[in-house]
Amino acid sequence: MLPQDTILGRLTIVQVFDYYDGPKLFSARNAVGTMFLVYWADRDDVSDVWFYVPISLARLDAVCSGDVTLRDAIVKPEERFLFEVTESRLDESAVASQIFPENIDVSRLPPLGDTIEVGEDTSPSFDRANPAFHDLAIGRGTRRGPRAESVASVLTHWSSLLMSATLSLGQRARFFAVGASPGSFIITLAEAGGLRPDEALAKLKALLENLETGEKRAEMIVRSSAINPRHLENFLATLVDNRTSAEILTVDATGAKRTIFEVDSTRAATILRAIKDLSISAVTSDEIPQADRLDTVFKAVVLAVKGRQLTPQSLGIVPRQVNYYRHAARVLGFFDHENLPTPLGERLVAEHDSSRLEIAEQAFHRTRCGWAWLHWSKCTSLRDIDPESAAKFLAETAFGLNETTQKRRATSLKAWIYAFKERGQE
Amino acid sequence: MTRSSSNDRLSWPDYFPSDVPPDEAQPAGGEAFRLVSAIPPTKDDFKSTYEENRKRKHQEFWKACGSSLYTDLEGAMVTRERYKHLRETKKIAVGRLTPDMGMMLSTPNPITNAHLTVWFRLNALPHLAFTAAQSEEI
Repeated sequence: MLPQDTILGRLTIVQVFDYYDGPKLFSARNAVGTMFLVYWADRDDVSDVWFYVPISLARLDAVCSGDVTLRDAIVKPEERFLFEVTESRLDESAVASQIFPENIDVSRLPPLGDTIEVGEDTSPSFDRANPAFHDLAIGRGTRRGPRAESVASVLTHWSSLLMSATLSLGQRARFFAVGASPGSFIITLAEAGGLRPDEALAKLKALLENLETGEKRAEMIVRSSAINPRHLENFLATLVDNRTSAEILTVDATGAKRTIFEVDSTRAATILRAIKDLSISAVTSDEIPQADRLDTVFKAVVLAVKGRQLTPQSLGIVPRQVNYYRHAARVLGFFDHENLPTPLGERLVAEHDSSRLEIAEQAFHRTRCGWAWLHWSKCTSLRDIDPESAAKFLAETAFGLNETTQKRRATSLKAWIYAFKERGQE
Repeated sequence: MTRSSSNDRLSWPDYFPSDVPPDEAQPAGGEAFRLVSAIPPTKDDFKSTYEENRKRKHQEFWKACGSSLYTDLEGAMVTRERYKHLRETKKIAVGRLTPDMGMMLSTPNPITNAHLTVWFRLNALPHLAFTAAQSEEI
């Protein structure tokens, strides 16, 4: 499938995004770690033509989240060049050559505006010959075995942490529980696309060991790992809270198991202490709103309280933004995780415009993002924050944002602070 | 429909490994969409991914033994528009799969849940069940 004897090096597929009679759009990596976005550009009777675009993880993330169109990913490559690979249909030969975007035949490009959004709703499809299973063994905790809520909590936070670790390696993974056995309660997990988690597990093992020794600053260790600190914090905290342990094991094709690492509540507490400061100062992607207009956030809450559907038409925004406004309402605590209005959301609707802004300001003050910005800017009131510092604040504290998204979120944060300041002047 | 009997084994193309179609596959059924070269389509339009290019090595051979279809029109339309060769040469056909044609499994892509892999039996004639989708001119 992939050219092996070309200037691109020894390639392996990292993740297939679009499969139609074979992979047609995917990410691949060579032995020295260069990542490529690969797009099926053309075909004739004797060959297939592919574009291999060298791409950073941040840019790949922007493509996968729909922030960068497929066409822009190809015609605006970060390295200002890409590779064209002509793969023979008659034998296994392939020829790769470096090309420049200006020389690409436009008809070979994806349509204008074509984006992908790599979702989480794929269901499992397992390659049984090459199992990608791993086990999460949760300590018994009590004589009767772990409490059901402990199992649920550890599993939820482990899954989030592992997804974050795979994402830091350029892979979007989704894990499914495919079996369970009693005793030290063991849950077998598999990735939807058959992705092997070995690399991500090794990365997590090293991260925990580095944080435990405390030789370097925890913030630097976590930041350089690109793993979401909140997921790490939540996983460790649930082990402490439930006084339980988690052992991670991999399973090979013969069914033999190997322990990768184990964290008990004492070890979890030690590591939690090491990342204490980070948990206040850092903000993660899902804690930062991307909705410039607070009045539109309020409109979304009003519609939801009335039981009406949120649509691009009812909110006066483009379809992509509907989810951003739902997210903003969740960040502020007006919606719960199922996007249903909370009591605070109901209260907001009962108030007039000026009071709504006051409620929003108080709500934002209590969010991770608002609190981290206050902490970062050494202010005590949101209105004292310099709105123009939003970009710098995010650049220094945010995890999991690519450059484009960071700019968009900074615009939203800036707009919110200006709105709070204006209200204060009225 | 099981694959346990030797007679049943003979009903599949000889390049299918013994574990293809996979155990999770279900008898084919329901409405499905396929990109085809012409309306009405021919049997060649339903060739497996492997048959379409026997020289290519496949990371997931079990999947390459099948053909790609979609459970909705949008999935087929987005794919056709995305790639030049498909834009220029393919039309969208719709038809109803039946158990005698073979087995199928939902094999979602990370970007769409509508992708389906269908493993057609040697004697299957799926093209006779497919016609132009609503969006197509004959």
